[in-house]
Amino acid sequence: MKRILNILIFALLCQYSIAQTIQENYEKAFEELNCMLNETCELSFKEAVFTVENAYFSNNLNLEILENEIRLLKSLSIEVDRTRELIYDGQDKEEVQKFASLFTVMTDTIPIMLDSINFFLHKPFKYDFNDIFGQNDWSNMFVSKLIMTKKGNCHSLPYLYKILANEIGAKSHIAVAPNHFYIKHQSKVNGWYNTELTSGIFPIDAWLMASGYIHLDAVVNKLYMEALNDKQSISLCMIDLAKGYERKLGLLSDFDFVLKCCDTALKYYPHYINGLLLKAETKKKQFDVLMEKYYAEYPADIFYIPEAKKLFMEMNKLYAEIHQLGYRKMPNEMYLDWLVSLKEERSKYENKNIINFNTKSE
Amino acid sequence: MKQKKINRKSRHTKQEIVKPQRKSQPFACQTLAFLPSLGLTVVLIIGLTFNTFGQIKTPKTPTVSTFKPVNTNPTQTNQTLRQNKVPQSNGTTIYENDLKRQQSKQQMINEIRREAEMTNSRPAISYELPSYGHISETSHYKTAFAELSKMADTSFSIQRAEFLVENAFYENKGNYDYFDKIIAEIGQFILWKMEDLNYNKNSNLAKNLILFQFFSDTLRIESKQMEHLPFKYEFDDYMGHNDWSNIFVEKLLRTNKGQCHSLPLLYLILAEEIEAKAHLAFSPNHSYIKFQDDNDKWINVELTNGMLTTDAFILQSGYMKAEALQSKIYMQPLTEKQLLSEMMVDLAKGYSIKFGYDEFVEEVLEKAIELYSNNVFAQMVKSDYRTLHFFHVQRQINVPPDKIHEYPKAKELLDRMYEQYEIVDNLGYEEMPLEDYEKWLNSLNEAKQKQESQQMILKLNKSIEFNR
Repeated sequence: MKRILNILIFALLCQYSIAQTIQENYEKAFEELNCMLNETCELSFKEAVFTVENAYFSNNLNLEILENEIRLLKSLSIEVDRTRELIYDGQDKEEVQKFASLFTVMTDTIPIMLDSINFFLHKPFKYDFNDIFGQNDWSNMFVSKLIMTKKGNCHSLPYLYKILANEIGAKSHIAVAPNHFYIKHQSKVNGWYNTELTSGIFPIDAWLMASGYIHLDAVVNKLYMEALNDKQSISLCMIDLAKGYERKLGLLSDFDFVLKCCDTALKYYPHYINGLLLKAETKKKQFDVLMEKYYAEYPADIFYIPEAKKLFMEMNKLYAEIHQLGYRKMPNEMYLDWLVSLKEERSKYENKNIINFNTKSE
Repeated sequence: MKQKKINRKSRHTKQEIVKPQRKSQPFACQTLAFLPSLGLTVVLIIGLTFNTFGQIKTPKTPTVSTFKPVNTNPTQTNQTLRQNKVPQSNGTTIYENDLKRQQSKQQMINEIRREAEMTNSRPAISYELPSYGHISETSHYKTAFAELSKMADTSFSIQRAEFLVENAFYENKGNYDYFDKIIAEIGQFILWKMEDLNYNKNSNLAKNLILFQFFSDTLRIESKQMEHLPFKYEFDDYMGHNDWSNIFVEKLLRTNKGQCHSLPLLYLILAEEIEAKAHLAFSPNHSYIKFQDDNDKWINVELTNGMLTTDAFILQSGYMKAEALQSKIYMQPLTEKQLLSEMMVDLAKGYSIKFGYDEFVEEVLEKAIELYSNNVFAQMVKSDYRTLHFFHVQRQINVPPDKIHEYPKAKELLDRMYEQYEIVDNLGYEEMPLEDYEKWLNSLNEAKQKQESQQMILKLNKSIEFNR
């Protein structure tokens, strides 16, 4: 009996020490992202993304392989850019050519001649319909998973695109939609336009706005559909870090760390909806813990504790703010329907200006 | 609708930037008319420089023939001097004096030449657009603008503002009292109808709904034997391309036909008359009415088809960019100040159509932008103005783009033009082709939209009856 107890205690201690190292890893990752945000070190989106993923894999991510793959994709898109000419006569043709070649690399099959007979087919990245929100395995959201399996989702695909765009020196912006990310570019001839990598289509804004899940206020308040700058993109990684941390440690996770990540991200991107939501949810969890601790049945039961009352007020204020900004919850099931609607109603939502110069080139 | 007119031009001008050799045709006639006077000044200046040259040349005669004749051709100054320096070794004082005189003369010639270049030949390029101020009819625009500007600081009346804009175009031939009387009569009719229906006269919803019916339904007051038929949508020249006055409220009242410019404006004028609160709002190529019901919920009124519309329908036009919503150029209820700013753009457009673009247009636009900086129409007309301004100069200097920096003033104009394009682009504006606009507007007639509208009207009617 005593032996069993000893083993149990040992196991618990082990768990505790593992949690300790995870915590340390995440603290380190946080510092790395934070220094990019407060300009004490160089900002690199690629680095930020891999820092987040590496922390989740407890520093076991093989960065060398990933770097090699990215280098390959980079040279491939430079090659595509070099060998074809777009029908586009804006002043920024050079830049737009880069966007187009990157898009081809991400979404098209490209034969690469090894010698006169043998060739190698570069396969496009595909959308992974399994576990699109990373509910079973959080690492399904990761760019590293996308690179290794060639299958990704609306999180990893635009992230990889942005990383590659930075590599080839093209300006790209991530934009947020409900449960979704996509890419925005600006060209002199067509102004802002969207690149949707999950289906390889350039949708017009009406596709997002008429989805029924975006309140007009949410667009006006830039909750969605805003072209994010570099710091805002790092803020996205910061929230990813907090979410990964929660997933990794589960019940052992420290609310303060999550809140610290949220506050830092929101400092540089105050209306980042996922950040606001995570912050509100974390506060709610904190409050739930308090309710359990004092055996309270209703929130009001513990209002006599100043700390609890303050927490409750903060939480409510945050939710009210989120609602006011125009956020409405989009049910997960609906998300897929909406995503697929782009392919089904392609003619209605496709940006004809973009495909006009993108389709024929060779 | 008037927007369309602007679009067409701004696109045209944008193409020109890409290929600057393409001249903007519609305005060619203006500069052609200006050319003769330009040519004259150039000839005059050339004549002038020749004269001065000749005058200074005359004292040359005393130079003794034994010496080599001094070459006064200023381009060979150095050579001349060197030639003269050889005989200097002779030590002849007469010659030395002569040489000094010659040198100072040479300097004077050079100086005068330089001065002539600086002061005389430069103004040959006119860096300003020709003004139409000398045409007496422009004075009507100036008085209208003065009164509109005053409205910014005092009280604003859409009825008066619209009258001013239209009357300036009609060369002050309108009669405000008559216009006022018509509006008052319609206002009275609407109020009687409200009494007839026993509507609550304090309800903004009731007032707006009856106004909406005045536009879209046949309204009858049995007790007074009065009747008003709905306004019709004018399919001909709905952009005012053929005749700018086609989009006027005056024309709507005269013919009972209007489009998305005159219908919402008349709605606003009548709303002001019966003290209802309503706002103008824009969507691509289009304007419509927004008002709040008694629970502060916003309702969209589409007057061209006499329907109520949802935001989703407006978003589906396909030319609504997120950036346009974020810079609040579309789907936002305009405040009084913003509306006044729009009226000024209408005034500037009217002037430019009647006369052309000159510094008055710029002045009006600056005021409009001061009142409402994100006024996309003001910014677009301004980019037209900037484009014309630059090409007016470019046509005179005629230099390739890579040499433009040799003319700092022209370069500045070009930079300002690009700057202005940047402003319009950043507002998220996207041009909507006319066919697509018509298609979108016609899609209102689809059963689904009609049904939605009917349901909304029914619901609002119910809530009025409930509050009666």
